Amino acid sequence: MMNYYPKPMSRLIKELAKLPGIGPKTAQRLAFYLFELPRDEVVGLATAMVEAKDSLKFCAICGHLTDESPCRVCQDTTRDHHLLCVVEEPKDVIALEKTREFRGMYHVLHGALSPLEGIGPEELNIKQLLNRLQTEEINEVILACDPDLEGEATALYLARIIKPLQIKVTRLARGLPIGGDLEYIDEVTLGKAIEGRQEL
Amino acid sequence: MGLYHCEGIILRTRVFGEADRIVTLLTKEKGKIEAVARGARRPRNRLVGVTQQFSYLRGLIFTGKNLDQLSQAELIKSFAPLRDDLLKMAYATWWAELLDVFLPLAEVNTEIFLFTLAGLVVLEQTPDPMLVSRAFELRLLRYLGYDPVLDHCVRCQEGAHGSLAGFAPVEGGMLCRICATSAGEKLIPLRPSALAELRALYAADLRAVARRPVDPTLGNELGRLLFAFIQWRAEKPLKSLAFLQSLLVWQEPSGS
Ligand SMILES: [Zn+2]
Ligand SMILES: [Zn+2]
Repeated sequence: MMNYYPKPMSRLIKELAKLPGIGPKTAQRLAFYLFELPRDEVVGLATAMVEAKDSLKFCAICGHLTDESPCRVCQDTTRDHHLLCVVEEPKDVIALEKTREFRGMYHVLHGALSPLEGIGPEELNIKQLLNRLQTEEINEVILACDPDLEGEATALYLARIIKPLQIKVTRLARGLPIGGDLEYIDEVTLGKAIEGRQEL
Repeated sequence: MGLYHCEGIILRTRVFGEADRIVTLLTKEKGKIEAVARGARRPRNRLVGVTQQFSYLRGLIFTGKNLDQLSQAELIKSFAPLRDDLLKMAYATWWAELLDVFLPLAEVNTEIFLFTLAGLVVLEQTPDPMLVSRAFELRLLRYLGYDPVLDHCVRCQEGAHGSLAGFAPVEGGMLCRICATSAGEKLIPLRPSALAELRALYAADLRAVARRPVDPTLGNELGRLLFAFIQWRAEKPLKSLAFLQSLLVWQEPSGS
């Protein structure tokens, strides 16, 4: 199929198809779209990609994605520096920031423990976390790991190494999705929601 | 396209596509199967909770051209305690990987299914699963037809008391002193008392093993032998074993 295209076109399609969620059909459509754009806009897009790639790094303190280190969250003196939320990925920080509910600090692990993949504590940003807990004045650590097996493993592991430091450890409540219909909620989620019920 | 009901235990799950999961199930009716659970990574999907690792479920499977599909599932037992305790989770994952590595797809084995189910029930209730796991590993090897030779020398059949030098994973059993010298293989030493324990574990009821106090020295000694043998049999590194071992090493200082 690729032979029908001039070389630069088939190369572009091939590169686009490497992106997540983009199949060969979509890659073709995008390639034609890019070809029809004014040159300025194509250059703008390409430059944005290269600049993002070149200027983004991980914050030296919390591990979040940033263009300056320490990142804006770590530098913000109006936030609660005694409250630390541990997440698996930078995109989890973004998700929590969007809620506007959380005004503490973050720590990004860059992954989760995976018993089946053999990913152990050494492969995660845990040493730096312990370092922070010993040098900064943290009163509470909120574990905001994914509610899957890897997330559970990570939260259990962290709770066990943090508790001896006499720091309060909490985790996100596992409960019902807002707007859901109780009868359609699966048994496990419902069970956890009953476990985590709150007094009104 | 066909349709069948089955009862199964989730051995592992993998992400698939945008929102799906592929689950590997050990079923009573069809042996080990793989099926896609559509939408099982969307928070409100009915399959989310049921398709957690180690869940024991009753499912409805559509057989497809390429992939089978788990279209409905109902929880029989969630085995949640195996996900709420790190050490139990590590053991359960290790068992699941053993089953996944050694069992071929779509080969019915009711004995292994029932044994696994019983094993997980015991594991759920055992505070220190070390010896239970040794018994599980050993019995699973027997069900798979890989049982290590423990009663006599695997080469010359010599079985006299005190004549055995150690365990040779590559030979699949114990070697006597004479054969060990000529074989020149790396042996795993085993105290006679540990060897006796190992033989006894073959026949032991997992529930009875769970009630016994755990002797970590014995557990580790048997573990060295079984891990080496299993690793050699699997012909590839077993990742969950590394995880389990890192946990056991780490636990020791805070164990008291
Ligand atoms: Zn930062
Ligand atoms: Zn011999």
